[in-house]
Amino acid sequence: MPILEVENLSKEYKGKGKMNVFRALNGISLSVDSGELVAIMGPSGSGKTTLLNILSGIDTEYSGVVRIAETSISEMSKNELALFRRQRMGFVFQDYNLLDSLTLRENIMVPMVLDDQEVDDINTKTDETLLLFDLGEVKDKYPYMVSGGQQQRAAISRAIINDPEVIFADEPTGNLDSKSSSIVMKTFAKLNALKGATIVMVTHDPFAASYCNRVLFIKDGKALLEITRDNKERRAFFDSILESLAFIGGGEDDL
Amino acid sequence: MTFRRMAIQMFKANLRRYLLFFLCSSFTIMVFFAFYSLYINPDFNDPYQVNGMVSGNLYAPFLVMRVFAVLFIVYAQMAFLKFRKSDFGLLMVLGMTSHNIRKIILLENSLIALASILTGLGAGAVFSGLFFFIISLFVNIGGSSFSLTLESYLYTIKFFGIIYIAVIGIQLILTLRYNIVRLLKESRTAERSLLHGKITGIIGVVLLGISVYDMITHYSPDDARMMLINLGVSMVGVYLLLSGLGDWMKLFISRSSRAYHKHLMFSSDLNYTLGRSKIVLSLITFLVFITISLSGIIFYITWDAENIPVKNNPYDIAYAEVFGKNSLPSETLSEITDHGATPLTSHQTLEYIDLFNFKVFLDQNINTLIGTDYHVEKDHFLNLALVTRGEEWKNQRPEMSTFEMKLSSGNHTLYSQGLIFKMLFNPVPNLMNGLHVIVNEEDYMALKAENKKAIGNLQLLNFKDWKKTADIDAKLNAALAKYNKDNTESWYGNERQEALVFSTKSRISDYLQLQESGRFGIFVISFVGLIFFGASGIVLHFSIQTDLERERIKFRKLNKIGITSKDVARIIGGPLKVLFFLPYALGIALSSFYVVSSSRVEMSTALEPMWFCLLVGGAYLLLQVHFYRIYTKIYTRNMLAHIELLDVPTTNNTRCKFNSNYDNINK
Repeated sequence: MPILEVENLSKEYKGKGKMNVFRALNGISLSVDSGELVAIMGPSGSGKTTLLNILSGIDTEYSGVVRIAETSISEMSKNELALFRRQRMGFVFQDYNLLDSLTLRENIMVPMVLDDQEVDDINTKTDETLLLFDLGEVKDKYPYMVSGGQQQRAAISRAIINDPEVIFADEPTGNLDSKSSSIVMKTFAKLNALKGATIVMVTHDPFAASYCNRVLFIKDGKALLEITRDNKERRAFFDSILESLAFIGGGEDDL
Repeated sequence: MTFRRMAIQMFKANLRRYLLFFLCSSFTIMVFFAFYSLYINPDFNDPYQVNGMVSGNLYAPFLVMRVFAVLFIVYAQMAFLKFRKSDFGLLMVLGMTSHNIRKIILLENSLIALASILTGLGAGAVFSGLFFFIISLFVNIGGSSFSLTLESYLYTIKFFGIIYIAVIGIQLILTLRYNIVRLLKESRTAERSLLHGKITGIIGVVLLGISVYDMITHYSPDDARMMLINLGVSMVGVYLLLSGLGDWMKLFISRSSRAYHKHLMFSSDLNYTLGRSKIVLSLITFLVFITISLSGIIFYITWDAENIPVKNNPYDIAYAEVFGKNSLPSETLSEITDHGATPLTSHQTLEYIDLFNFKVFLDQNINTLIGTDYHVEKDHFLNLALVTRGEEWKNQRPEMSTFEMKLSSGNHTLYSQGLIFKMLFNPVPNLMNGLHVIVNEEDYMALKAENKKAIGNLQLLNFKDWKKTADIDAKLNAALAKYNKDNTESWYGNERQEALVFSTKSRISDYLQLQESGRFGIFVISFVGLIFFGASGIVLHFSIQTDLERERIKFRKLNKIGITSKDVARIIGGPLKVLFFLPYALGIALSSFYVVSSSRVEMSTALEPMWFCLLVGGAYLLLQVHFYRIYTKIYTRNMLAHIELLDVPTTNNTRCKFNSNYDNINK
């Protein structure tokens, strides 16, 4: 059953002058089923982050239809979107997006606190999540006191605290070394396998993408290619991803 | 591009930023100049032209104005530099040396200082004329005329020149500590301070406790030094209290699990906000404290203008005739009193001996006049203090233990039998230049026999309605002056001084003077109060602006998680409420306390002045509530616009038409 449906999505950036229009997304359509772990790849400027920002309701200026769990977010006001985002979506960002003045434990509980949920529920849920991601030892430390990998795991914990229907991740391993990247991707895979979480991730990193079930390649605002892992080994899927990247082209820097 | 050209380019690019600092500094200098011009205006300080109580009412506000000017200019310069620090960090990364940075600081700040002083003086020259004109509408300034002296200009230039040189000097010295990483982070980090934590807060409370105790037990109206030290200790106490308050509030909130979760964002923001803004908050507390204390006292005195003259003058009109002065024929006196707006109800006389340094009274005379029961023993005397103040005042007035009677037979020593604190009769000017003693009949007669020319008579007049005696009092003074001029030698060689010393002391003239000085006082203090209110708003604005980038980052992060505009307003409102209202609450509490504890001693009353303080405090608080609401609304709106959470009305289903430009690509 599709949890996320996108139909004919377009986005323009306008500069000064009538002719000065840049099309970041050009009538893209896609569908993600519940429980899928999907990566979106493409060269710089292909529209990956724009797509993710629209899917997650951060960017509201576009044309086309976006439906999450059969609810169209295109029609929502910004405040309705904010609530929808907080309660039904989870986010993981390249720069972790943790609040510097709160400890990791406090950062994780922010979405529930903003929702004014019961104190006992908040504490139970937060402690469970801390345990799941092995953050018990650093829970009372501030973001700048722990490693990037630990910060990103705290960010993932925060993303799932409200049991979202879909988790969006924007370059979640972009700021991490290979060891931390591997831990973070294993965490996503574990979430997907154990909890059946739907995860949509934008990444440059073929290694990170190889943990997914499906990889969608976009270029110039259009979906160009899609490959699925099926029953392939992760190594084999990694090679397929590299081949696909070579096929669609893009700068060497993007690999 | 030369270094000089680049510095000028940067100055031009930052012009809007400089504008606010420049305007604030110029405004401060303008007001200072206007105050100083009036303060040294020779006509305004001439007691024959302007009621001394009026010109005296300028002293305290001008003193406060000076303190304010120093604090405000120093703060504005420091806040300005903080804005520039991250730019300096970037310039240093690009290879600019500390020497170059110092040159930029020197150039920019000198330009601002010079421009502010020149503009301030120019605007001040115009404004002081207007200020003088407005004052002339409130009070009778006699023949005073507006004048600007070179001294006003020189003093203002000297005063602000020294402040600017000191501030720029300190800033230049501080550049020696510049470090690229710290500079780049400057706008995002709180000022590192050693003074924080719960113990600091406790020390602050202890200091406040000490000054409260000291004020209650040792306050003396004559001891300005004690008062200044006490105030200084209080202000340090407030600063330390604010330094530790964040930690205490965090502890308090975290004690309840529910409160901890509910105020998670608030308590973390508050700790940061309080830590960073304690200087600003202390400065505002000080301004609010001063404004409310002075206003409370002036409002009280004006409100009490009917009672104070009655307390100070037991008789409606009194004058003293002695050494041939003021010996107005009874027909002349009757002529005046019989044709007044209100009838004379009593006319009594009290005899005394004027020994210049001592005015000697007979106990029986006083008893007969006032109905008291003083009985002075032989070889003794009573000290008489003509004061209206209460019991607390007694410690302030030493008792003279012996009184030497100089007689032709030799000196005769009298010993004190005690001290009387009572306003027995009006403190007539020519009766007040000496100490008052009451002796028994034998000693009085001995003195009287040898000082016949020094025998004086205090004329004490009562009317049916003292408020209608203005005309009588004026005529009487004119008649006394005329009599003295026609019949006696001038003592002072100056007609106006002569008239002042031998004038009457009446309820009505005190009342009119109080009313006039009250009107002036209320005008000046309201003016100063409004300036302080504006200044505290600007200081708050500087403080909030310094932190704007950090707040934007925070809300961008929260927006990505999902935050509604209502949440944004709530999260913004919490710490802002503390910033806007905490100093007001502290200032009101402090001013009420100081006014109560000082007026208890000085005026034997505490409650009424306190009510006036609370009333003025309430009015300021009301203004602040409005300011808070407007400011928070604009700030929240700007923040919502920044994180693109402001709902823009859409005309069709597509949203791509709004706010799209190439900037968005870079986000």
